[in-house]
Amino acid sequence: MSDSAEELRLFRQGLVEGDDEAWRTLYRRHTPGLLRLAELLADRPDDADDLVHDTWLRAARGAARFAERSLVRTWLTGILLNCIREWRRASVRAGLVELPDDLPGPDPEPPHGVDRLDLERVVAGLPPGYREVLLLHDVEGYTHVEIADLLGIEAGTSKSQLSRARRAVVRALGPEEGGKDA
Amino acid sequence: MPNDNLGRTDARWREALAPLHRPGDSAALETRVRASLAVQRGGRARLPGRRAWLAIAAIVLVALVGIWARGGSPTSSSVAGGQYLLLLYEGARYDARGASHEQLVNEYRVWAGGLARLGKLVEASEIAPEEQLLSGSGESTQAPAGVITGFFIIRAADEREAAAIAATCPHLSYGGEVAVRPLRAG
Repeated sequence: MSDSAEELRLFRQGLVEGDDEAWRTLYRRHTPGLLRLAELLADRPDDADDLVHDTWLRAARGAARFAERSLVRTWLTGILLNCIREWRRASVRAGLVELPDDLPGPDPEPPHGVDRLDLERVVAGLPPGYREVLLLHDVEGYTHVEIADLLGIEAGTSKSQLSRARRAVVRALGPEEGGKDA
Repeated sequence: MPNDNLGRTDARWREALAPLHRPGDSAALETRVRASLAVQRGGRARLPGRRAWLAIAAIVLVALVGIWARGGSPTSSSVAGGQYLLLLYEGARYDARGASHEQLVNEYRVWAGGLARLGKLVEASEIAPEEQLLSGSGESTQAPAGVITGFFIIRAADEREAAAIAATCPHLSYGGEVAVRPLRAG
């Protein structure tokens, strides 16, 4: 998958050459999604503005090195993830490997009829590594190969982390909250 | 058909988590990011249309004021790494009827907050329209409503950076104008 010619033009003019109008178009196209992800991924949702702010500054500094091997959206998401990791001051791998393992098995059925606030609360309580893979895959729609590239892990690790994250969500919601329609 | 099962599970999970797929509100953050980018680029941002002319006018104004203050000696910048006064004018083209006062205050506050985080903001205030004119004789007179409605004092490396910061002020998007003047130390 590749960006449209218009997206690449906006990227070059807005981020490499510093054209204000092109940058604003690009900003308005991608920032709502970045903010949503930052609010869900950050340990404190109030940090989302700062994280996205830093993401755009880094994007401008590194724009000349963008090799167009990924989508602009994916590239910006990667920068945001790096910002979040640095803010967290801990390796995401710690969140991935230090957790108690679950018994192997199929992915659980998703919860039904859970409102947004409960979902946000449960997702916010997940360990960072689980939270990242779950949101990138099940909310943002990235594939395991893309997630592996974004997080610097193997695709298989992404799959197993997703499975564990889903089980953690079901467990956290419990039979009362997670099984309204199930 | 494990792949089909996996695909269906993925689809169901994405549907279940769909309430989380809400776009964030990027408008309030935009002016702050633009101001930071202007600072990061050292005032080298390409400014569009009328804003470019305003920025150029501001630079020319700064230069003229500097030359005048030095008795006409057109040397290099009189303010290096100094403070600048941004005066917000509301002229005939100013039109903010589409936004509430609260929205405007919040938008300007976010913009100023971005400058503060960068260590670029010194002072800011809205200015009420009522004013009194004082003369040397001590008499005071109620003056007509003024058109300067606010000010910011910022820190900038030079006139170019100050103008670049001013060009990101939300006031301009409502048809207002921003004048940039250097403040003289001491």
